[in-house]
Parts: sequence; C-alpha cells; structure tokens
Amino acid sequence: MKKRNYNLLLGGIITGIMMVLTLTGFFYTPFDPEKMDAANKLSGISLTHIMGCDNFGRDIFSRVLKGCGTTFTVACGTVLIGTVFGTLIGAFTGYFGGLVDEVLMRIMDALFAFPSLLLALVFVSLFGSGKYHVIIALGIAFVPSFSRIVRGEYMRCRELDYVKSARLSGASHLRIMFVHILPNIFTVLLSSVMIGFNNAVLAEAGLTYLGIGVRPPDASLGEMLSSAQTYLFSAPWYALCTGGTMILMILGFSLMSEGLKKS
Amino acid sequence: MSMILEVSGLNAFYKVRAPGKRKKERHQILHDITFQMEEGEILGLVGESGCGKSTLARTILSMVRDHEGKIQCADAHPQMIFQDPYGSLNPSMKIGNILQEPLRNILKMPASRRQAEAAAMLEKVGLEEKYMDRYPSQLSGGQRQRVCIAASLMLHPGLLIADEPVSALDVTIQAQVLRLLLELKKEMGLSILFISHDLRVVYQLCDHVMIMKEGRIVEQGETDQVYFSPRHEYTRDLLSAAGISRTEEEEESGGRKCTIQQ
Repeated sequence: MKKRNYNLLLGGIITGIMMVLTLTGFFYTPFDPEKMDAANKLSGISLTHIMGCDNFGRDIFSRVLKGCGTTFTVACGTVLIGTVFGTLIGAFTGYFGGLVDEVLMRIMDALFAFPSLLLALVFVSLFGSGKYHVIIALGIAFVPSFSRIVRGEYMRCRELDYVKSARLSGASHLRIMFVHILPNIFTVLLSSVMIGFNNAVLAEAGLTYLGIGVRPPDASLGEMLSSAQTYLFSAPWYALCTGGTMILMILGFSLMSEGLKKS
Repeated sequence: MSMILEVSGLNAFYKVRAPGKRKKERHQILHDITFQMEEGEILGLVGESGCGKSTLARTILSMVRDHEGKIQCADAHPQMIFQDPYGSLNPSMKIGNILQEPLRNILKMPASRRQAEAAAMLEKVGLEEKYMDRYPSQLSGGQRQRVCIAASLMLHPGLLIADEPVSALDVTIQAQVLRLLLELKKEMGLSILFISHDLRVVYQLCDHVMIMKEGRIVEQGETDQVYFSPRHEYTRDLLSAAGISRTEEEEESGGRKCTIQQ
C-alpha cells in the first residue's frame, strides 16, 4: 500500500486556505482596512469583527487579509529575485568552475558574511523604505544562499555521464546548463524556494518591525505585529491573530517543502 | 585499408589537489600512447580498472584538455557508449528527445524529420516506437543500454567508443546487447574501440587487442597472437587470471581456436 504523504497533504491544505484568504484580500475585505472607528477602539472578538479591532478601531480581520497580500507579494518578489539571480550565478560558477567560480563565489561569500537582515537594512536606509525597496533589498540578500545550493548541484551534475553524452551530441554549454541539467535539480530548487519563502516572510516582518520595511498605511503582517506589541495585555487577540496568521503561512510552506523532500 | 584513428605519442594529464597542499599537482595519466585503428575493425582495449582506459577514451573525444601528442580521427563526431546505462541517460528527458539531440544540435534537422529518424533508429536497436515518450526510469538496464547505443548512432558515426558497454548488465542481457552491437557494426560499417576488462568478451569480439597497464600500452597485436603467444609478463598474468589458455591438443596442431574454461 502506498504510504500517504501527510506532510505534503497538510501543508497543501494550509497553504491552499492561506492562498484563498490572500487572494480574497486583494479584492474584498469585510470592512475598509483603513477606516478608523473610535467607538470600536480595541474592541474584542465579536461576530461583526471576528478578530476584533485595533487601537484605531480598524477591523483586524480586514487588515490581516490585506496584510497577507502585502507580505505574500514581498516574499514572492524576494524569492523570485533570489532564485533567478541565484540560479544564474550558481549555474555558471558550478558548471564552469575555475576562475569564474573563484571570483563570483568570493563575492557571494562577502555578501553572505553579512546577516541578510543587516544587508537589507543598509539597502533600505540608502534607498528609502517601502514595499518595492524591501523586495529588492531582501532579494539581493537572498541571492548568495540560492547560488550556493544551485552551484553545488551543478558541480555534482557536470561530472555525470549524461552531461558528457550531451556534449558529444553537440549541445552548447548554455543548452546543457538550462535544458539538460536544470530540470534535474528542480526538486532541490523547489524545496529551497519554499524555505526561502518562509525566510522572506520572517525577514519582511523583521524589517517592518524595526520600522524600516513596509510603511503604513500599507498593512503587512510584520507592521501589524509590531503595533500589536504595545497592546499585548490589553488586547491580546490583536497579536495572537496576526501572529497566528503568519505562523500558518509559514507552517503551510514548511510542511509542503518537507513533504516534497520525501516524495 | 584506410585508418579511422591514429594516435601517436599521446600523453595526458590530470590536475589533482594533494591533501593538505594548496597547489594542484599535475599527474600524468597516459604515457606515450601510440596505436592505429583500421576502418571497420573492432579494437579491444584491456586493462585493470584505474589504468587509464577511460581517460584514453575521453582524450580521443577531446574531453581531456591537458594532453600532448597527435590524435587524428577520420570521423568528425566520434561517439561513445558509457558503462553505466543509469547515469548516461538524462532522467528528466524523454527517450525521443535524447535521440533527437544530436540531430537538432549538429545537423540542425527540422523536428518532423528528427522524429522519424529517432523512431527508425529505435526500431534498429529493437525497441518499439512507443518508447519515444518514455522516461529512462521506465526502462530496464538492457533497454537503457539499447537506447544509449541508438543515441550514439544517430549521427552515423565512423568511430564508436564503447567503454565497458555491458559490464553493468546481467549476463543474459550482456550477450543480447553485444549481438546487437555486432549486427549494427556490420550494417553501418562502424569501427569500434571496445574497452573492457572482460577478456572473454574481447576475444569473441575484437580483431586487434591492446593491453594497458598504468597508463602505458604494454602489448598490442592481433587478438589470437596476443592471447596465445603473449610477449609481456602482464599479459600472461591477465590471461592466466582469467583462465584462458590453449589446450594441449590445440598446442600440438597449432590451431587457432581457444578453449575458454568456465
């Protein structure tokens, strides 16, 4: 009997639900996420406000929906930049080796030596904050780790017989790199993309928490979590709901990448 | 007879990083290799593992950059069959696409013709057309090696290097694949450099044999001559280790048949 892959299943379900919520957030929220309502200031969980209201009387659920969208966009953009450039650099260095490898990997090492958050911090303080700057900053900070993984895979693959036989069949180096080898490292790439996504969610939250990431009125999970901190005792549901949403988002992706590794 | 391959004074080197040292050291793998190969013959290359057989093959196919000496090949695109049929087929490519690669890259053939040629070649190696859409993981070891043979023959090469093409296969399958290789050789007029450590197979297949030891060719000549009046000590050792010798009867009559003791 085939063993069920519960990690993949559960991860898929959680991620699926989060996706639906995120997508809904782009088009519809039960309340205007920006609308302040002094009467409902920090009101608790009720049927109308299912996650309660924040310190300005804004509906937390609506803001969570909107914030998921922002966080998701930032994480996706970050991972996209990291993957594309990481794969390119990793493919070239790993496949060719030699001087190209030495030079590019030393640059990556230098980049890697800084914590990604610090790197993003420097970037944001140089070019200003806001959603798109955060994406670029985090994206660049994510390139080294992706390029490392991809480089290792290419170094392993270039010695394999099918690469040699592709060479004999007249395939160019570029064709070997991206048509012959790339599909074979897809699973490795996919699971590192998912881990990268999680790290990006956390990094975005971290940056915003420090007040240099996504700026209000753009709602993001990190920004909400940081303002919820002040009301941790008077309105615990605020922090719980936003934090819980973030945990679910990350959990879904981690379970899925865990499941993919197994299958 | 014209020559398909002439190699003279060939030296090849690998760079190896010795443990604990930063500088890479240049190791000589092949020492002064000289041989010729006639068109249409099967030349056996025998030697223990690690003696440089595969390096010689790779050097002939210009995959080893660091070499000195002359390699003259009458064929523009010599091909190779690898030992391990599990590693030499790209697991993420369909059989049909693997077969079409050389036609696409070198001959720039249009897709429809490539398809037809690939299917025809697949039939030649005894596989049905439906295998075109399969992935290598869906095939058995013997079938994979048939696909490898087909892929190496797509360009109708003059020279084919077979690097232990059957050592990874079951004994029953080995015979089938060798028979197929012989048939195709006759049909397509191939010259085959057959690398092996199996002296029996080499005896059955090859017109000429070279014995290699530690990067040097210690003996070469016609198969019968090398097998039954070996001149070099190492050749004698190899033969006796494999249990190949002439029976007394044949010794007296001077016969050329050998008995291969099981």
